[in-house]
Amino acid sequence: MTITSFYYLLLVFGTVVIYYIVPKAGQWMCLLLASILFYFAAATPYTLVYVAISTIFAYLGTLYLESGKTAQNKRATYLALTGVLVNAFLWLVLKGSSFWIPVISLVGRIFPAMKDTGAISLIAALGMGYYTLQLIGYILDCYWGNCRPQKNIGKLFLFACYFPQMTSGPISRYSQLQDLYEKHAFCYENIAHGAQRILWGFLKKLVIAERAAIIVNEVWSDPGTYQGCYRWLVMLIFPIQMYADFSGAMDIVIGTSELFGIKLPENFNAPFFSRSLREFWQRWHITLGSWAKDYVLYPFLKSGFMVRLSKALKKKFGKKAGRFIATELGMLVLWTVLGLWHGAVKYVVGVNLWYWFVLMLSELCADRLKKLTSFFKINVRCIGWRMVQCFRIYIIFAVGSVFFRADSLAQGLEFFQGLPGVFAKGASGLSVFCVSFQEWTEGMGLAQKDIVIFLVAFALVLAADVLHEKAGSARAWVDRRALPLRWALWTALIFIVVIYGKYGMEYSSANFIYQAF
Amino acid sequence: MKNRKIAGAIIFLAIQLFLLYVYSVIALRNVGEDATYNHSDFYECDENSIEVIFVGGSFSYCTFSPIELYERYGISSYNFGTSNQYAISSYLWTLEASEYQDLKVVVLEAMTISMSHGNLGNDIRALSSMGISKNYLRLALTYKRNAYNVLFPVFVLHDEWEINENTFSASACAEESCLKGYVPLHSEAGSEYQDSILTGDETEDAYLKFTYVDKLREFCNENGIQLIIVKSLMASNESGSWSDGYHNRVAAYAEEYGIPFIDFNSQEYIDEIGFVIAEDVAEDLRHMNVNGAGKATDFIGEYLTNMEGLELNLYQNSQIDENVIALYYETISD
Repeated sequence: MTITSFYYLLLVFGTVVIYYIVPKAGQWMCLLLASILFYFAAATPYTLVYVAISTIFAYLGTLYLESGKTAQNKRATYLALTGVLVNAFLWLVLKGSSFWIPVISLVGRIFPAMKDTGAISLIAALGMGYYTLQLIGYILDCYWGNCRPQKNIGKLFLFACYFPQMTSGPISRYSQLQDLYEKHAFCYENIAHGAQRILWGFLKKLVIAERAAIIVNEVWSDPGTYQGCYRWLVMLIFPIQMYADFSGAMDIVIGTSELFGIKLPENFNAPFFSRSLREFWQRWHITLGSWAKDYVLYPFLKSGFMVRLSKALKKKFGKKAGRFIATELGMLVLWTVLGLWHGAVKYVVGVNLWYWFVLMLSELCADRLKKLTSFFKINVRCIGWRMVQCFRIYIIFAVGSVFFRADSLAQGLEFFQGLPGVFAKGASGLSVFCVSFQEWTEGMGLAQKDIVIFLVAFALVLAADVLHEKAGSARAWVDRRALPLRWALWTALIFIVVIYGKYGMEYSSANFIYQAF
Repeated sequence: MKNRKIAGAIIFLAIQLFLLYVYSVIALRNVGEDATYNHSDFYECDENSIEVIFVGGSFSYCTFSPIELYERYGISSYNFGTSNQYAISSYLWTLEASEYQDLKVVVLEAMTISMSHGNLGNDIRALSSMGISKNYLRLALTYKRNAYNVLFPVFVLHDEWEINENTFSASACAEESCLKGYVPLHSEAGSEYQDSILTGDETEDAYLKFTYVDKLREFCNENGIQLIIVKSLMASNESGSWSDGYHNRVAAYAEEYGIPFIDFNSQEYIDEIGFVIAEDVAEDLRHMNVNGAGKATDFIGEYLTNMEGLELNLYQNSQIDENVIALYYETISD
């Protein structure tokens, strides 16, 4: 069961009805039951045990922790540490197999008795990457005294497996999900806004992402055949697919949650309007970045080792350079951890180290760039310059995304060799201009009509993002319109999704990209 | 205030459902524009003017020509064949036809028996000319978990959505009405195909599902309708679609229930009718062309005329206009 399926909507509808009928004290149990039901329908049922084990260790790990008496208690420290390590270990074994299976295979070559262990195939729990981070964050928050431990293991289990966010996040803090345990009265606005948000998510996923996926999958299924401009096109389209896919999933998830009166943290904030890479990462997968900063970067920078190292660096290279090196070292750790979380070497090296490198470079060159812009008397506030900046960030993101989509690091590198003008291998890239646009796109499996639908729908999403930037919320903007216009807008949206969405019994839709984590 | 909002939401949802219904009707109609699914002209026929119907997949609509059957034998008929028609659609078309016509004979093309049901898109397309009628809605009972797709076929057919100049035109398919469901093919298989695809092997290893053939048979029994199973002539069974295994199983079924079974691929029928595979089968080697359809229709006309106990109102209830017949021959000669 995916979150765009009819049965998901049926489950949500049924749960909403029961949620507002049952006594308010039992509402969280209703959500827990729906979550278990969803898990059984969407994943390999027995893997729910993994979620249970992680929850039990998080529960036990925080049992002796009380707000205000945290790190002093040695026993509590050990328990908390055990909770974190067990969660991390389970994730590594089940989800991070691409790191340890090659090691075991290597060992198997040396010790033939261990040969078969290299071929182990494990089924990870659904949303393991997300709930593991949530539970580790929860344990650390309790340990640092940021929140009180949950005494009811059922409620903690709900925090780990709350069904809307199970497949693609967002990665919520325990303090952000207190709404789960609150009593909620039926609220028309919650229902209307939740449904509208779900619809918007469907538009992004079914109309935009699924169309982009056709071209992207076609080229990546046989990259050798598609050189030059085909690769440029795919490189430029894939970020749109990722955005529509992931933010579409978030809209559905957050919208579903809104139906229950539960507010989940936002994961996107018009990322393609970012003018620097740093800003981009504050607008893209916000909850993961924020989690990594709070639970990896800051603790790392505050650790005794780093404090001593920072002092030594400042002494040797001066205050500014010393601080820069120490910070970038912390950032390197952060980006490596983020890469590891995605679960393969290509993410660590191809994607995350690339972004770390560009971020470091932009930090290094920031002053020089400022001087250059003033030297050329560029009005940095004009719309043209802003667009140039946004496009620059888009390209940088697109380059890293190639490794995200590639099967391996080597395949990602090979992809760049097929771009014309950049280490060009084939000449077919430019010959594409000799055929009509229609032939070109149809050759990749998408009719010209689909390209128009894709572009119009994406323009709609960008328009909503502009409204979001200018007016705070596109939905609030719609809410302020007169009733007939409002109804006409939502009706149009419903029928755009119904008619132009890629779905149905005869269509095998692509999985959500971030569902893999 | 709260009640007003809830009432507003209910009205909004009702409008959406109504619009979905309207779009579904249009989507069904759009599918119906395809000649291989279109049977809208059936509803223009006078009541009780058709006594024989042909049901089945493309093998049915390429094999039997109602106009030729009428012209030569006075038998009024209609061909309900649609591409990839499953047995459930054959059954439902029979129910639909019997509501308007006094049916005497149902000719089922045997290939359909290998496909019971299971492809909702196919079934919806096959029944698209019915519109959202009582018999169409019976399909929803079959697809219990996907009943919503039957009730609002726009979800299945949304890819085929298109408004064009024909969408709101009542006579969008008028030019095809002279064919009465028949689809002529003009190509020929060529000279290499001389022998029957059947080898005389006695195996019964084919996978066939008789669920809806049983229902069709029971319906025919209850209503005094003669059911006949016919397999059209083929030049090749490379795709494994018809073989001795299929033939033997259908023959055994037909024998068990006393249903006449005519397999044009059997040597006896090839000889009797005078089929020349190279000339009577189309170049796809699977469907019969206009030559073959002429012979097959001729044979069926003869067969029905001489069938014991079957009384057809030859030339009496139905008067097909000479112009329609002329238009028919003009169309098939294209």
